[in-house]
Amino acid sequence: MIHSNHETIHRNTFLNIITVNVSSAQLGVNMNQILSIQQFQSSKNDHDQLVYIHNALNLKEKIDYKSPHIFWVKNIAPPIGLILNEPQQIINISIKQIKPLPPIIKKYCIYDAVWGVVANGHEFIVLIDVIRLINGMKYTLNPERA
Amino acid sequence: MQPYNDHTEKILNAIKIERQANEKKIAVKEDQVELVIFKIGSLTHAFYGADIKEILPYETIAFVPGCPDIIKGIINVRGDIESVLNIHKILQKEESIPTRRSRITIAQSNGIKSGILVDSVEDVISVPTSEIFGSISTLDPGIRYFVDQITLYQGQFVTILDISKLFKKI
Repeated sequence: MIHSNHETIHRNTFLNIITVNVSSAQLGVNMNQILSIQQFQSSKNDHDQLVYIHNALNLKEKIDYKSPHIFWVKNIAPPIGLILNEPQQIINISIKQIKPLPPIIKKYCIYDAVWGVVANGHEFIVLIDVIRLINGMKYTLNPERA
Repeated sequence: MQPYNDHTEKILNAIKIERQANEKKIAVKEDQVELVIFKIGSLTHAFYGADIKEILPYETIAFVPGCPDIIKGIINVRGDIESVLNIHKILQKEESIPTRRSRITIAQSNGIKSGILVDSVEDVISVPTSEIFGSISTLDPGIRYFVDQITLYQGQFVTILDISKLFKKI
């Protein structure tokens, strides 16, 4: 059992993780951190507080956003939306399945937001805490002006 | 037959003791160092075998956002997640595309464990310590820091890379 400030986490706690492909990685976001998801339309969403995931993660590789979606993040004021590719699936995982990152990755990965991995054979879902990501980054809001 | 206790017997005993001492010397094997011989591009290097826990065939390495270039990503080793280092970047060499000869060596030193992707593993050999020599000053600056010793493999000098220095440098 893990005690945090607000809640007690049991080893048999389950999380709903929504998966999204970013570059060659499959990222997983805890659905508890997401307020809503909507398709991104540049004309309609121009006024919103938005940030592309490649900017948030400072990725060098160019990402082809085939079907961009806005993930509105909970507990952030004013509301900020992350633009990602369309969600792949929602999976229900036990926290027993979550592996911590290897020490070298933990030490050198520049983001505390990357917090764990779910392995399924040779495939991985890299878990991202989007609240930590938004709170800890230097990002460019409003992609049309970026 | 009665045991003798004369001068001849003393000489024979002395010879016997000398022979036994020589036999002991022969029985003691020269100290050996195990080395894993591998290639990075066209250059041959070695790791100390004691630092290498496993040699795995190449498999897809999952990218982790936010990691520096010297970290290739992660792999699943029987349920444990291991990082994989990009030794080409660490040694300032041109990166190569993984082939079926590529290997991931799982290295451990001073409590740190990680995979290291190499272009091929050529051999695992035992070398007498007398054939391990001090490093030379004319080594490529990119690898000089990581090399304390060199040896000969198939008539060529091979630099032995110190895993603890690799882990320390990153």
